[in-house]
Amino acid sequence: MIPTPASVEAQAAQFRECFTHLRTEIGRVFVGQNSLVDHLLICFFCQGHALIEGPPGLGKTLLVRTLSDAVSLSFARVQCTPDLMPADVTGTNLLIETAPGLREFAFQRGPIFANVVLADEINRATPRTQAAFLEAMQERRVTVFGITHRIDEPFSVFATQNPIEMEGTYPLPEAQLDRFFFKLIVQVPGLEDLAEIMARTTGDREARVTPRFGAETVRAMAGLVKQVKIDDQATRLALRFVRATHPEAQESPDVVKQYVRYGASPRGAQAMILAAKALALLAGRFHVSMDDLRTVAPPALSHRIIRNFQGEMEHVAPDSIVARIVAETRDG
Amino acid sequence: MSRRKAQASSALPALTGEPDHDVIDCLRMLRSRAIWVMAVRYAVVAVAIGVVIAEGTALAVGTSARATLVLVSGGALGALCVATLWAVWRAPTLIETAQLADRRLGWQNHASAALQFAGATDAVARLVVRDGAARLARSRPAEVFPFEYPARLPWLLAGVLAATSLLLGGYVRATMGDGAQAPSGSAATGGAGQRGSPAANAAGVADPAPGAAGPSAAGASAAQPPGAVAPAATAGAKGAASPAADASAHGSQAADTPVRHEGGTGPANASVPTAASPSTAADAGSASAVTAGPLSPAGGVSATTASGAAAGDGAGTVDSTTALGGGVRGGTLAPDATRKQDNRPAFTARERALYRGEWDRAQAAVAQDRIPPALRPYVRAYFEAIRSAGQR
Repeated sequence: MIPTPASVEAQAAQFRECFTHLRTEIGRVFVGQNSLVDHLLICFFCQGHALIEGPPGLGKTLLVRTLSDAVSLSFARVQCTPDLMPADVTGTNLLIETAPGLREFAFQRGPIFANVVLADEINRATPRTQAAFLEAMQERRVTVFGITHRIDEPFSVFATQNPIEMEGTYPLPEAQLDRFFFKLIVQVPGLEDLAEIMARTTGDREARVTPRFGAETVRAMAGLVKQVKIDDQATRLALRFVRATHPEAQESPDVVKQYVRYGASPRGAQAMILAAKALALLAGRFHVSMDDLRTVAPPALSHRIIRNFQGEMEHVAPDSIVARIVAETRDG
Repeated sequence: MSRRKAQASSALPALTGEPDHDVIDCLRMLRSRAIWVMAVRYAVVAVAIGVVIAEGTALAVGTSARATLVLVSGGALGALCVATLWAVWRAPTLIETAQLADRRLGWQNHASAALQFAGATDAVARLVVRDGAARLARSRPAEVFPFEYPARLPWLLAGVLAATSLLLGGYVRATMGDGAQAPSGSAATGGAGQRGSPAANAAGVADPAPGAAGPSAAGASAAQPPGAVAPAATAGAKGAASPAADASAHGSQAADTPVRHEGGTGPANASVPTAASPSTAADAGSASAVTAGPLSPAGGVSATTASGAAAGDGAGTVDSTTALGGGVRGGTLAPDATRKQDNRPAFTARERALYRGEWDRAQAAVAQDRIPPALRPYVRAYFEAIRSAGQR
């Protein structure tokens, strides 16, 4: 069926309603951090994967679980440890008895086949297991014993990592970081938020999340996001942002030339544009504005910037580099 | 109400129900407004510059009032044309207009996206165009492209004012200073004369060529007003007979030679300071003559410049009856009351009538700018020279 303007408008209204519902439901359980929640939902509706970074105990796992509960999707959690094997993630062939006296190998699906996957402390898994995760994230399919299994959509992996304890961890390589749509930072809550957290978690009332939308709705919303238009000027701005992250580019600001070794890949631009489309829909528009791109540039680009030695020694935050890029890049 | 009336009264063209056309129509209207605003802005700057240049040219050349008016008007008109052409040349394209509108009104790319997707048939594109058209239709061109004065407008106006004052000042000074003699309209001459005309002595004297037969002589001669049959002038031209002439012949600065200007020049040092180029000497000389002449008291002012020290040989004061010329640019050819008596016989009635007639014709010729400014002193000098004793 060819969509009409009226049907698209109805879908856009549903998108806003769905987004608001999820935000409200998450807000019942997860206190504060509105920007983090919005970015997580945008990432989810764009069918991207997010790397959530923050100290332990700030509710990273709770956030992702609440999201899956609010949309009636299958959820799987993988606690990554050094002895976690790829087969524990993807699944493997097991010898099962199908009939009396008849045994055969059957593929047993791993947690990666859930709609929402939480890879807790992904940097504690070995590179081999990380690679299994990341291949599934990128390809949206798993190959076991030569047989490829498709992963159902919607599919989003939310990986967490703890920036403090680095001993015994395997930091994600840059190539794998690039596969995350957004990198989201969980901030330490303020006094008001902490008080609210205490009130909710130490009382006898438990917050319940009401699931409302299913996988079909999420798929439709993801399709709608991709239909949003972006004009040439906004596209060029996104590309200029990406170009400006490269120290060898003429248009890059001084801070990039000084502190950056490698800049963002085209995936960065893809993530920015898709996320900006979702923001545009939320704002009631059917086209991307340049302000949308500026809003989503930090979570889309910061983890794609590889600092050089000087940048790491001086603890120059990638976020501040992206902020400078956004400030110094002209609309043109 | 017609569509055009509607857009004139409030905002951009009313929606026609075809968003694609609406978007393009509205953007065309905005573009026209942008061109108009640019043209006005450029015109303000260009006209100011054009007027200043025209007035500067008038000052430098020493044109008549009428010619100055024509020059200034022409300059302004030319600048206006250039500004308009420049505005049209630099007019934004439709997509640039849309981007400007988005940026100035915070439209979040509504206009540019609508323009880009105008004509597309998919549902989302239709919505983009519809939203853009609605927003454009609600806008007012003056909001998008308000008229703003150029940032340097005060400086431009000050420049125009200064140039105009200088020009008018020259006219007024000339008019007030010489009822009978040359009301030189040339502000340049007034200015130059006041400050120290690059005058005859400047041009003529500074020229080291002995005899000053060339330009310096011309300069000196040009500066010689009617009374300039006096020895110094002649000597200056010939380059020998007087100390002043000596000074000039030896290349000393005119300022070094004390010059006594009879017939009323301004300060002598005003007419001496620098060596002007020969080509300008004549003008400057006349300028000095015109401006300074009428202001001096009857009987002449003895204006002595610094003498001797630099020139070395210019110690003596020279009596130079430089009754400075009048009749520059439309002025009357007034007789010089300070002339010395001579022994020539008086005119007969017929000669007097003839003289009077020729005088009037010359005066009319001067008034109509038929005589170049540089030659007007000659005319006056000629008539003064042929006067009879009784007329003096």
